Order: sequence, then structure tokens, then C-alpha cells
Amino acid sequence: MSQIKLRGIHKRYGDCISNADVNLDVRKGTIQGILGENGAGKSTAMKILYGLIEPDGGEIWIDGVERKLKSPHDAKALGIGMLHQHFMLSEAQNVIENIVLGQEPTHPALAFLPLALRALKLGDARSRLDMLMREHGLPVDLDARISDLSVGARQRVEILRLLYIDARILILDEPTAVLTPQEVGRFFIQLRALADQGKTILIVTHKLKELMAITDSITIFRAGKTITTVDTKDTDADQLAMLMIGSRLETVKNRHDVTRSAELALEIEELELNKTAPRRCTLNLRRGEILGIAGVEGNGQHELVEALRHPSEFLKHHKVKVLKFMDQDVRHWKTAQMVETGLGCIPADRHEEGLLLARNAVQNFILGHQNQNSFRAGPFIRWSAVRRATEEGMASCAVVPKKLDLELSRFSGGNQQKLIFAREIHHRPKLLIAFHPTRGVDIGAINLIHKKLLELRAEGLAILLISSELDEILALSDRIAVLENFAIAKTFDGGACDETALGLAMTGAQEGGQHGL
Amino acid sequence: MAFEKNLRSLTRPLSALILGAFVSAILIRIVGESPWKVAEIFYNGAMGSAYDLGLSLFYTVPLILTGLAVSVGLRARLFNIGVEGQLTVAALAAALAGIWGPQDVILNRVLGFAAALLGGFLWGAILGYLKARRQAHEVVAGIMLNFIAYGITSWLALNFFKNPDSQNPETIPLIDAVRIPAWSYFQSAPIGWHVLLAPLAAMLLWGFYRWTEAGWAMEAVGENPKAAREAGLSIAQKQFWALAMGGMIAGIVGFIEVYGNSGKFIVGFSPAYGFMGIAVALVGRLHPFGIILSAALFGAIHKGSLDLDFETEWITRDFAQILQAVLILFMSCATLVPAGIQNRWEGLKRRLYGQRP
Ligand SMILES: Nc1ncnc2c1ncn2[C@@H]1O[C@H](COP(=O)(O)OP(=O)(O)OP(=O)(O)O)[C@@H](O)[C@H]1O
Ligand SMILES: [Mg+2]
Repeated sequence: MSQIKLRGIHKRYGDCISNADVNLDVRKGTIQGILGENGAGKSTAMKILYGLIEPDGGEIWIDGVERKLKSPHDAKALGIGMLHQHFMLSEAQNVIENIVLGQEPTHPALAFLPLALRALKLGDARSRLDMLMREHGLPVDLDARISDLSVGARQRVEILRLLYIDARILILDEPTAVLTPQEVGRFFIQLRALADQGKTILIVTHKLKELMAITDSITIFRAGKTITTVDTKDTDADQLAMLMIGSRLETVKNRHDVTRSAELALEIEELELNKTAPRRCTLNLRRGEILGIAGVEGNGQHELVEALRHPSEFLKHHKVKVLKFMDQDVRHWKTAQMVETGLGCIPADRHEEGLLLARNAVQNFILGHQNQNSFRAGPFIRWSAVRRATEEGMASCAVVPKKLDLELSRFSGGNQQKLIFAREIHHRPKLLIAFHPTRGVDIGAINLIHKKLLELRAEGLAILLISSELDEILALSDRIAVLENFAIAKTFDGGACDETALGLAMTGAQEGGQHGL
Repeated sequence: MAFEKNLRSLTRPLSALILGAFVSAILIRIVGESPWKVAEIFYNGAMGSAYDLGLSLFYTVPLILTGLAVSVGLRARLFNIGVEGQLTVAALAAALAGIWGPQDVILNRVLGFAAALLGGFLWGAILGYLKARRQAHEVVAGIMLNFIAYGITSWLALNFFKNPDSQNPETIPLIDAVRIPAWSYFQSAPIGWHVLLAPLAAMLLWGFYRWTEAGWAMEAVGENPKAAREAGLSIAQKQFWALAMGGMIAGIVGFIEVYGNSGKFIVGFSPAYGFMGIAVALVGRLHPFGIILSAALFGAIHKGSLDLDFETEWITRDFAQILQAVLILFMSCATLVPAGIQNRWEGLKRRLYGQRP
């Protein structure tokens, strides 16, 4: 008998149908994968099961009893826990508070009281978390503030929080989006162990490899409907792709057939990314070249992006010998100047750094490009021009729904990401920092983005590709640099490198480097 | 569709008003007055005659401006509590410009207006500088600047420009010719063309946020400072301008008071317009036109409750203030109905009307 049963769940927002007919059966102690294009309604269905969204109709059965879930509180009472697609952490608090808050056995009405008044024993929580961290291989500094953590570390905090509350049913909405392959491997071993203990796990992911590796069966969403469920052992990645997008999966690959120009787009010499690190970072990037940065998160990726985006601010506290962008010394430049000279950036955390969630697509499309001549008439914004650009951008990157006036928080996660991508390439930058560029994007759209990146490279764009996806780095990069302990440890030629070699270089890096933060 | 949405956003303050009135009625009963009689006095006090209406309008106009000033701050996620000080400084600046300036009517008024804007701007700019560059908390700094503004203006006014013919704490008056004549429709209420400055400011502000890059950027900084920083916007700069601009708008209150009402700077002329502006801005949902409506409501409530004092036996000035506060309290609640009840209500509606895809 199935532990979770959804029947005819539907939910619409105005004329946008998010879930049309969702049916789901999950047996106890199994791992169920959920797959579907961006905007297919996966997150909506998961939030309905977690009580965050009330469906317009349909039935939810848990353990053979029909339930009305009015709020996450009801879901928690039934032992349902959820890891959200976007981080739900409170920036100003530290890790342990984030994990423990809201989970303690006090009445929710008292939740506003400071911790000290709630007779909470953080000590107990700490020792349990220490154990969980060791057991699951998820190192985090429990006393670090969330605002100081990298996206990878934040993801680990979210996973820890879920493990901490000890739910019977785990809903995981893209839990591995920014984890490194090693972390994913360890995480999956733990997931399997949890399932063997009798926990039921629902996992949404766009990574077919992961689905094949971890799930027992996979349900496919298409346009708000669950179209079919297949047993993992009877299927393969090709068939999944077929079911999901209706065509075979073709992967995009850099053929290394474009001759790179000799012109340097970026020149960094002895950049201090961290004061305590023994070595400094030196790298350069030519126009028409894709440089992949591999490495475990926390080894300087964020600092590198920070230095390039905000040189004048960053270099107040860090040393550098040479920092040149398009042959100009940019050590004293402000962000706006960098952007205007042609620096595009896809930030690691789209909600935090890339979007105004309460604004519509048009208002977001101008963000960062507010000084573009085509968008301006003196002090005024030419909204009509911005609208046209947004329309073009959304069309070229297949952002759905194609509603310019929809608030950004109402787009699905993958579509938000595609909009940022469209925005950042719209003005033909000279250098694009692509930090987890395909985070949360479905396989069809990943191909589209990869294709576009290669096309733009052929036109002379320099791309700094920072990703936790080794496949992505291997498929696209002309050169690959391994970042280790705030310096470049090793550089490979893109064509002459494979996953094992890179993995080996990275593991070496991880052993020598700092992990955790 | 948009119109319908706007209409719906009106239902909340209105139902709040009704609820607040209900609670007030109970309070009135308790002190032994008839709620109906009080309501009648209230209504007559607020708009019973052209004169009363004029006085309601007289309170409304400064509230629109202070509401706008506060809203500019709030849109950039700053709590501009210094509006009271800004309008005080502006009023003294306007009065001094009027006294010293050329006695030509037009020139004098223009100079007075410019001085008011500049005074408000400067006082707001100090706050902005402290916030943006010196990392002061804008609320603490704002309160302190209010004290300082009050102290300095009274000291200047009473020690150097005191009106020798009056017992009141006020400066020498401007010449009558430069004061803005009142319209006869409102009888002797001090309402002239200067009241149009408030809706004009609201319209300009609306356009500013809708069409200019600076307005868009100031809101972007308020909504997501991190993303704004990534977009190359200077947070400090936008914060400075949000507070300085708020000061400038508040400054218009000073001009209206001096040129449109008293003809001089009177110490303590403002019945806390700056603080009421916070409530006005929030109830008006930071939208310029919403602020006009909410200021009108606040102005009418203020005027209506003033009359209760001398027209009833038991309701004192203090009690009238309690009633006013109750009404404002209800209107400032974002959700009137507890979430649980609201959920049940929504569920009931769904079951009644049935919503299928
Ligand atoms: N509050 C809302 N208002 C309007 N439309 C919404 C709202 N929430 C979701 N939608 C729409 O519902 C559809 C499904 O969204 P959902 O987030 O469930 O997609 P998803 O399958 O999780 O996609 P992704 O893989 O990109 O995360 C999307 O088209 C989205 O725009
Ligand atoms: Mg989703």
C-alpha cells in the first residue's frame, strides 16, 4: 500500500495552471524521483504536499487517511519535512539557530521570544548536529552566520536541518543543485540508508544521472500533469529525456575548433583572495575562450567573483599585483564601471543577488543594465525599449510563461534562472562570469544555454565558468583551472582532460584545502 | 483588472475604519455618551460646513506631504522619523527668507519656497549623511535631529527674531501682501492655491518612481540591497537621496504654514504632522495617490475629534485623542482577520463557489 497518495490535485493562478492533474503513489521506504521541465509544476505539487499551498481540489492521502493540510504545521505533525528549492535561511542568524529555530517543542505562538527565554538547550542540539555532520559527511561551522556562507554550505545547512527534524517523509526539491559530485555521492549513500530505515523520500532533480543512481521509481511531470511513473531499473536516461521533453537528449560539446584570439579579456596576477592563504591567485582569460573553474566550494570561488565585480571595494582589503579587464587597469573601478565596460554576471544565488522578486520581468530585465544607452533617455527609463528587450530575451531563452508583467517570484525556479541568463547576455558582454549558470534548469534548457555559451564564445566572448557540475565544465571549457585554497593549483587543457583526472586533482585539492566554509 | 485591484485595496482601510468606529462606540458608551450623537458631532466637525471642510483640508495637506516624505524613505527601506524636524527647520527658513527677502510679492514667495525646500533638504541631508556614510541608525539619528531642530529653531526665533508685539513664541510676521490669500469658499479657513502643492508633489513623485532611473533605483535598493549592489547601484548614495528628498518634500509643509497660514514661524506649530505622516504613508501603502486618500481620512479624523472636546460633556481632549488613536490603530493593521479565520473563510468561499480549473 502506498504511504503517500495524491489524487487529481489541481491548482491554478489566474489563467496560469500550475497543477492540472497530479496523481502520485509512493510506497513506504522508497525513493521516488520527480522529473519534469521548468515550470511543469513540480515545486507546486511538493509545496501542496507540505501544506504551503492549498490546492484548488484533489485529495491527499497519508498512511491511508485523507488529510487536509492547511499549513506546514499540519504537515510537520504528520512527519513531513521539506527542503525547498530556494534557501529558506535567516541571513542574520547563525547555523545552529537556523536549524533549531522553529523545530523546538515550544508552542509556535512563543516563537518570537529570544532563544534564552525559551529554555532551549542548544548544547543538546549541538552534539546531535555534530553527530549528524560526521555521519553524513556534511561539514558546516555551526556558529557561522548564514550571510557568511557560500551557496554550497547553505545547501548543506538545509540538508542538516531536514535530517535534524527526523521526518518520516522527506520532500527534497533540488537538494543537490550546488553540491559537488563527492558531496552528492555521500549524500546519496545516506539517503539510501534513510530509506532502508523506512523513511519515504521524494526527490525533485533535473540531473538524470542522479535519478538513475538513487531512485526506485520516477514520476514524470508535463505541463502540470503527472504523465507516467516508471521503475528506475526498467529505464535509462535516454528514455527519461524522451518522456520529459519528447525528444532524444543530445549533449552540447565544445569541439575546440574555434581559434582563440590572442587578446586578453582578463588578466589577474597575484590576487589575494584570502588573507590567511599561503598563495595568491594568478590567471588570465583570452577573448573567445571559456575557462572552467573547478574545485570544491569555499576555496575562493566567491572571493574571485567578488574581486571582479567590485574591484575597488574588494581591493581595499586585499592585495593584487595586476588586475586588468579588457586591457585596462581596473583596480580602482566601481561595479557600474565594470558592467558598462562589458562584465556580465550570472550570480550563484539568484534570489539573493540577481533578482527583485516582487517586481515583474521587465523591471528585472533592466537590473544591472540601467545605464545602457538603449534603455535611457536622460534621467528617464525608456520602458518601451526595456519591454521589447525583455520580450526578445524571454523568447530566445525559452522563459515561460511569457508574461512580462508577472511578478518574478511567480516564475518557476528554472525560469528565473533562464531570465537572468537572458538578461546577462542581452547586451553582448565582453566577459561573462557564469557561476552555477544552469542551477535548477531542466535538461532541454541546459542544452540551450550551453549552445548559446559556445556561440557567444565563437563571437569573442570570454567566459569564466564556475560550476560544481564537472560534466558542465568538461563539456564547455577550453581550459580548466582547479581552484585550491585560494589559488590556482593546476590547469588542464579542455580537450585533454577527463572526469577522473579532474576529480583526482580536485580531491587532492580538497585534502589540502579548507573545506567547510 | 488593475482598477478592480485598486478598488480592492481600498476595502481594507475602510473595513478597518468601520471596525475601529465600532470599538470607539463601545468606549464612548462606557464614558456615558451616545455614540450616535458623537458620530454626528464628528461628522459635522469634519465636514458639516464649508468652513469645517476647509479646516479638515487644512490638516490634510501637511499630512499628504509628510506621508510622501516618509514613503520615500520607506521605499528605500529607511524609516525616516526625522520628518518633524525637517519641516520645522523648513518653516523657520521660509519665515526668515520672507522677512529678509525682497518685498516684491512674487520674488518673496519664490524665495520663501526655495528656502523651505532647502531647509528641509539640508536637515534631511544631514540624516542621510549620518545614515549612508557614518552608519548611524536612521531612527536614532532622526529622533536626535528632531530634538536639535526644535531647540535651534526656537532659540533662533525667540532670541533674534521674536515678535515684540506678541506674547506668543513666534517670529516677526511677514508683510500681509506676500501671504497667500484664502479662497472665500471655505470662509475663513486658510485654504488657498498653496494647498495644490500637495497633490502636485504626489503626482511628481508618482512620475519619479514610474519613469526615472533614480526612482527605480531607489526602490530597487530598498527591495533587495544585495542585488542592487550587484547591479552596480550605490546603496549609500540612494539612501542619502531617499532621506534628503524626503526632507525636501517635508519642507513644503514649512512653506505652507508660513505663507498660507500663520504668516510667521510659531514655535511648535506642528501637531506632530511628521509622526502622523508615518501612519499616513503606511495606510496609503506608500503609493502617492493612496497617501492622498489616507491623509484625507486622517485630516478629517483629526478635525472631527477636535470638536468633540467642547461639544460634549464627557469627552475631553484626551479622550478624543484616544478615539483618534483607536481608529488609526485599526487602520494600521496589515491583516484585520487572524490568519486561521481567514483560511477557514477562504475554504468556505471555495466550497460555496467551487473553483475548478
Ligand atoms: N504564485 C503564482 N502565481 C502565478 N503563477 C505561478 C505561481 N506559482 C507558480 N506559478 C506557475 O506555475 C507553474 C509551475 O511552477 P513550479 O514552480 O511548480 O514549476 P517547477 O516544475 O518546480 O519548475 P522548476 O523546474 O523551474 O523549478 C509555472 O509556470 C509558474 O510560473
Ligand atoms: Mg521548482
